[in-house]
Order: sequence, then C-alpha cells, then structure tokens
Amino acid sequence: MKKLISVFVLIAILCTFVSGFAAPQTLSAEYHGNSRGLIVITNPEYQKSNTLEKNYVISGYGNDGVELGFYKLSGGKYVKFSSSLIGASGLFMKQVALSNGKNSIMVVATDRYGNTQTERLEINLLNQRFLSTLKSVAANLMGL
Amino acid sequence: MNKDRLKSLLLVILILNSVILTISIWFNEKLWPSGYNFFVTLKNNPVLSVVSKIVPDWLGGEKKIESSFQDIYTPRLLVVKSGSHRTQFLSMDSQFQSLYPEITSALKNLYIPSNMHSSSACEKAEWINALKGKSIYMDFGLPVSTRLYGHFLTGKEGELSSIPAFSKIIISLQSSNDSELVVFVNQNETDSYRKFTLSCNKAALSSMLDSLVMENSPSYKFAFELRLDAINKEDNSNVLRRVTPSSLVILPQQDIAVPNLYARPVLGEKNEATISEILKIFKYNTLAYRKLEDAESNVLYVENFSTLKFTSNNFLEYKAVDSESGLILKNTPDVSLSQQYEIISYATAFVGELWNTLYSGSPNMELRLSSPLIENASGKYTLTFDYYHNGIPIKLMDDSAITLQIENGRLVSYTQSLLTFEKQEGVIEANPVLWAIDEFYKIYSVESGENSDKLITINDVFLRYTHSNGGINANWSIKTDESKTYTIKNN
Repeated sequence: MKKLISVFVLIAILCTFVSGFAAPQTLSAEYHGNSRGLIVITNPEYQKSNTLEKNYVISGYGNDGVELGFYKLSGGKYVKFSSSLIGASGLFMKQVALSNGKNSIMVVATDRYGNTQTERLEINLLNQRFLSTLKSVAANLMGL
Repeated sequence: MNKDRLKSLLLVILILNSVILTISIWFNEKLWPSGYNFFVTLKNNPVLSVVSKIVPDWLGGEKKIESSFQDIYTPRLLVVKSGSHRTQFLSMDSQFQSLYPEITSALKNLYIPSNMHSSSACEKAEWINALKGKSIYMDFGLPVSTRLYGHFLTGKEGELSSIPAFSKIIISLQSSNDSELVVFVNQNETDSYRKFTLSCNKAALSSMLDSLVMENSPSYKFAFELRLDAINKEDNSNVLRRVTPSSLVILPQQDIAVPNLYARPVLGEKNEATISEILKIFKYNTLAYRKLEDAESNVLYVENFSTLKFTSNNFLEYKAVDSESGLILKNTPDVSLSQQYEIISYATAFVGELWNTLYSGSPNMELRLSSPLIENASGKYTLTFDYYHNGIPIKLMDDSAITLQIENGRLVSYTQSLLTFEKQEGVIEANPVLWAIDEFYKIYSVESGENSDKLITINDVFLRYTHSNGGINANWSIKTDESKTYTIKNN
C-alpha cells in the first residue's frame, strides 16, 4: 500500500513538472517571458500593424521542439486560443480570426528547459468601407 | 452491251486503277523504300502540292491541327487576389476555365506593338509588389518560348523583347485606369523581370475576377506575404534558420482533401476495336502488318518500318526502324518558327487523337505537357506529358505518362502508359503543408549528412498523386534549390 501511494505521489510530482512547463490557459496582462532567441516572428513585420484580412496569418520560425501558445487579450487577461509545436523545419504559421478594430495578441514560446519568450502584437483590422473611403479621398485629391 | 464494249470498259477501269495506284506509290512517302527520294522535289512542286491538298489521304498530304491541344499553352495553375482574399484555381476548375479565355484575350496585346505603351526591365521587388494588390499569377510549371506563345495567341510569329522564355506571368489589375493593363514576365529560371504596360480594356477581366474570388474560397498565401522568404537582418543568432521557402512558394492555409483514386488498364473489354483504332492512328495498313506475341506476353504489331507493342504491364510502345522511317507528322523543308510551332502542334494533335480514343470515358483525366516548350532548330524534339486528375498531377512509377521523340517532323518513338485513374469512394486527407516541410527537412538533414547550419531553400511545394505497387496516394512534393524533388508520404 505504501509503495502504491509513493508511486501516485511520484506521478503527481512529475505531472506538476510537466504541466508547469506547458503554456497555461490564461496569463496576466503583465506577463513576460524570461528569454529571447526562441522564435522570430516574420508576419506581422512590426509589433503594431493594420490589415484588411479577417483571417490573419501569424508566421515565423524558431527552434525545433519549441511549443507556441497564442493568446488574445480579453477582459484584462490573455486567454489562450491555440497552440502548436515547431517542427524540424523551424517554420510556423497560425491563422487567427480577427475582430474588427484592435486585436491584442501575445505569442508565448516555451522550450523544453522551461525558458519562455513572449511577443506582443497589436493587429488592427480595418474594414473594407474604410478602405473604400480612403480610396475615394485619394482619387478626389488626385483630381484636384 | 456486247462483249467488245465490256472488254473496252474493263480495260479502261484497269488502266485508270493502275495509274491511280502508281501515283499513290510515287507520292505517298510511307510506301517509298528507304533512301528513295526522287519525288520529294516533285511533291513540293506548287502544282502537285495543290493536288495533294485535294486528295490528302491518297498522297500523304497535310494533317489538320486539332484545336483541342491548345492546352499545352495553359498554365498549370492561377493564383488570384481580389480584395484581401487570395485563392488558387487549378486547370480543371470551372473558375480557371472561365477566366483563362479572358486572360489570353488580354495577353494578346503583348504581341501587338501598337498596344504596347511601354516595356522596361524591373526589379524583383516590383514583381513581388504586383502581387500585393489585385492580380492574377500564372505559373506554367515549365519554360515556354515567348515566340511560340505569341504564335499560339496571335497565330503568327511575334517576339517579346529580351525574353526568350518564361514560366511565370503576373497580370496586375491594381491600376484604376480601366484602359491600361500592366503585365510582368519573369524570364525563366533567372532573376530577370520585365514590365509591360498595355493598352487594353481590363474591366471585363477585373469584374470576372471579383465574381470568382469569394470570401469563403480556400485561402492561399505566398511565402513573401508571410515574410518567410526573407532573411531577418536582426535575427537573433540563437534561432537557427534551416529552411526558407522562396518568395512565390504557395502555402495553403487550410487542410486539403482530394478524391481517392484507383488505377485500371484503359484497354478493357473493347480491346480489339480500340487497338484497331490505334493502329489506324499510327497509319498501320491492316493488310501489311504481322501480329505476334513474345515470351513476356507482350503483343506486337510489326510492319516494314516500325513496331507497335502493347506490353503486359500496360504500356504502348512505338519504335521506328530508323529516324527516316518514322510516322510523318509534318513535312519539314525548313525549321522556321512556324514550322516548329506546327511540328509541336501536330505532335500534340497526334497525342490528342490517341487520348480521345483511349480516354474518352475518363472525364476527370487531363493530359499536360511536362517538357520545356522551347524552339529547337535541330529539328529533334523530346516531348513528355503527365496525367492529371482534377488538376492534380499523377506521378507514375516509370516517370512520364507519355514520351515522344520527333526528328525532322517524323515520330521516331512513342511510349504511353495505358492506365486510367478514376475516383473511388472516400477522399484522401493530405497532411498540413507545414508537416510536409518538417518531414522534408528530417529526410534532407539525414541525407545530406551535414550539420544543421546550412540553409536550404524550397522552390516549390505541391500536391501530387503517386502511383506505385502499393496503390495511389496523394503526397506532398517539395522541390529544392538543389534541383531535387522530395516526395513526402502522407501518413
């Protein structure tokens, strides 16, 4: 019986270690990673960007085996909406459904040693009407 | 009628018959013994060439060009962007077939000097920028001579300045000026690009594009849109870059499912009738050939100048005794562009005739040229074709589905796989494209045996059916900048 209990305790401890390294479902708005150099985000190019694409693709490259968590800011906290694992090629792509206006997204990269890197992105979804307005203003200005 | 009159009539008939047969022997090149060419000059005589047009079959005259094989000049896919959405149409898609005639109508203006406003070299950045707005990207998948393409579009010789061959074209529809069209052409396998501004009403093309690209159409991204093609100058050295797709690698953003296929021999129960048709296409005289079966159960039809073999492993093989005995596709007194265009057209029409005979019951099957479409002044051509099903190529165990060798307008050899591919129940769910790129890198790194510092560039990623002894699967194929293609097996 004692042996059985010891085995259960050992398993529980191991699970804690594992779950401790897995990206949590929510993170505070102030959360920051403790490392750099796990991933590079290629798209979007800058931390703040505008787009017309409702289904936006966040892409980049990183080290093989790095786990990625994708979070959206909601109600003052970052809530996880997707995760993936970087494979042998190092490339990653994740399609994100954006809401109209500002979308605050955080990408959390975690390696097997528990090092984490966070990348905060602000992607502003413009609507087509706004673009049409811009175009007509530009056309009018060119007419002048 | 008395006996004398009957005799006279019979004599007249016999004399006429012998005259006609003699003319046939004199002017039908197939009946000439090897090296006999006295009447070549005579046949090219203007008067006699008129006669040969009136009685073409008797005198081995001109063969009509089938219009069905203009397909060799169509791109393998179109990647189109309208609004913020980019999608892809394969050659068998209805959207492709609606759009392509409008595209060719617009591209004709490339070869009409009076419609050419300007032509200038441009940098790769401008070429890429053209794709960021409303545009049509055409990938032919093989080098195409600009002169041959011009002949296809306009029916006569035409040149495209400084570009002997291309494989990709971009039509930019960004400009608000409806009477002007901007076309970019990439010189094949170089970093040389040319921009043409044409006088052309693009309103119809533009509005057709808007109607065909829906918000819910499958989404595709070029690697440059995701900046996966660029080397980040501020890259942290801890992040090792192993694989980079080149700018125009197309990356699907959703899972892809394709029809499940099975292969069967195309020569089925209607064997004898179809074989008889095939023999006619190869101009085999039903009274002159011998039918044999060899030790490997291959069926051979042998005549004086060639052999036609139906192999037991479902291949059709034609081989002429020598290059001067092959089936005449086109008389070639010279090697002008028109003649070369016609040789290719006749060759593909020949393939088309066989295709119609064998594959008329396979509506989803398609045949596409896989060898470069380039002029060749030597008069020797090797043309290869691949089978496609619903726009997706099929890789056979023994390479190309059809191979022709042509010398001086004569078919010297011909090989064709006699398999057809048909849908069966279910679909094949392809693994995500990133998974395929990961698997490719695992194979590549083991194969190359080098350390992981070397950056490998991927030039193309596409789905392809692979037919082998184990059946048919849809696998990703990855082409690298080392000119090698890797097949990543679906799991």
